[in-house]
Amino acid sequence: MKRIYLDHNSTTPIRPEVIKIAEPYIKSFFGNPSSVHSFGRETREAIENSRAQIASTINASDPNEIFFTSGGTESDNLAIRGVLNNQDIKSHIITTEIEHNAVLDTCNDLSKEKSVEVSYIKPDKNGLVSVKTIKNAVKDNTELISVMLGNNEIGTIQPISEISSFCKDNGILFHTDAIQAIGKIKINVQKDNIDLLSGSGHKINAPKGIGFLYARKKTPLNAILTGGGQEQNIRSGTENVAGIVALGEACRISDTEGNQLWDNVLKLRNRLEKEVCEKIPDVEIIGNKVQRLPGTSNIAFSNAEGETLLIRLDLEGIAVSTGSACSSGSTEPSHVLLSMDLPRNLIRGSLRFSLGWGSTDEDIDYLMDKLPNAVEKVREIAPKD
Amino acid sequence: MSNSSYHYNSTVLSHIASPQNIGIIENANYTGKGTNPSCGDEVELYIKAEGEKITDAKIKILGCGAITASMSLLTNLLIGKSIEDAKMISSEDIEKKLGGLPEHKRHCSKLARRVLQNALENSKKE
Repeated sequence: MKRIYLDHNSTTPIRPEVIKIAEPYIKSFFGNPSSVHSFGRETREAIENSRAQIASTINASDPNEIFFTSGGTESDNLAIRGVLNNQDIKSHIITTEIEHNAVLDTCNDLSKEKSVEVSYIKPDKNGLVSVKTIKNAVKDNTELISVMLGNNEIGTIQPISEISSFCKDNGILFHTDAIQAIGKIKINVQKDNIDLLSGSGHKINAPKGIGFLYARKKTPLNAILTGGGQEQNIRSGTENVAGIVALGEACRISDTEGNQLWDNVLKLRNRLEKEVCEKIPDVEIIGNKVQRLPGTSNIAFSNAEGETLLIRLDLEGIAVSTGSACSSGSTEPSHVLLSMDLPRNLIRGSLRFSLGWGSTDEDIDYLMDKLPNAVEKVREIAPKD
Repeated sequence: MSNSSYHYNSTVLSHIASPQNIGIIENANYTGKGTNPSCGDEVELYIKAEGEKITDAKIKILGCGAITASMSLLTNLLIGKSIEDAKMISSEDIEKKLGGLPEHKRHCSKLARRVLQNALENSKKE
């Protein structure tokens, strides 16, 4: 059976070039990068090359501003906990309601554990956060503002540089979860006054289990994983050499090929939306259509239910995601869609299509061959009002 | 594979792909409706009986895979049963016949049970 993957925001296939570069670090070069001997030297060199590459991709001023982690979740945790960990006074964080749970749950925990105050800013109905609302939330004890660069569910790109320059002018640290955005849009941490930035390998065609946190020099950051003192004492643990090498290569490729790739993906995404709107009645594109990552498309199908649509598509070999409730182990619908005050019946019928490296016109052809029928069938069996 | 795994098993999937007994019954003896406000599932159940015996059951569903499968399976359980026996069908019976539902989906078999109860207790029998 044909298998079509339209869930790149969930995870991505590993590119062959990335596998090729990383493979020797699984098969042959196994040294501990902290070892003084030659086995350690060769893996140390590999990870430092990666570090420099990643610093270059985001235009950090120094490779030593890059800290390797086990992935995006850890990077988000490190950014937030690492900055607020040793505050004696009650600190205040501002973040948004549409962040990934790695940010939200961390902030939530801190508000209970450490008596940190958190303000959660609501987006507009198109999933964009207003700079004004953020500014209005600032207090004397605001230490950190965390706003994601690109949202994973609807793809909206937040007005990061405005927020970060406000932060800079007011002595507030700025963190952005750039996990969905890296590789898709150009990031410049120096120009955009970003103090902390989270990245993840498995969203840009590198393996799972590797990520990084960028932390501008002089950002007061404490470790949350303590031990052997690796990563300048910021993140202990023997380095995931193969993962780091893979991540570096994935970033290098995105520098050279990213523009072309994402221009193509943008065309495919736009084609998908155009054809869905033309061929299927009662659909709505969710989220700001302009300020959006190139591959993401969140579409609501009225009088249909997302998980059932998802499964029907899955049975035809097509992989997508849904924001409706009762998917992925939770009984609540997507907190992002809820936060936008979307009507429940739209949230219920939402599907997220996310394209990426490897997506083709044939994928869209096949989707449009199966999707209208799946929607029709689901609507047929629904109660009539 | 364990019964209460994260994913749906093949029995559940086949009910989702081809839900049984879809439709309405114009002169149903028993009708029940139910919703799950938190996830927006909406369900209608129609039962036709001749005397004490259920001769037909039909459903309309707007809901997730688990409620689709639960209701679809329920119609199969109902047809041919007596009303008395139908009243005894539990959500566990539904789950058992489906081969299990993921833990976070078990509330769907309970909704199916509630809709059945709603139909059998509240409708006028002719």
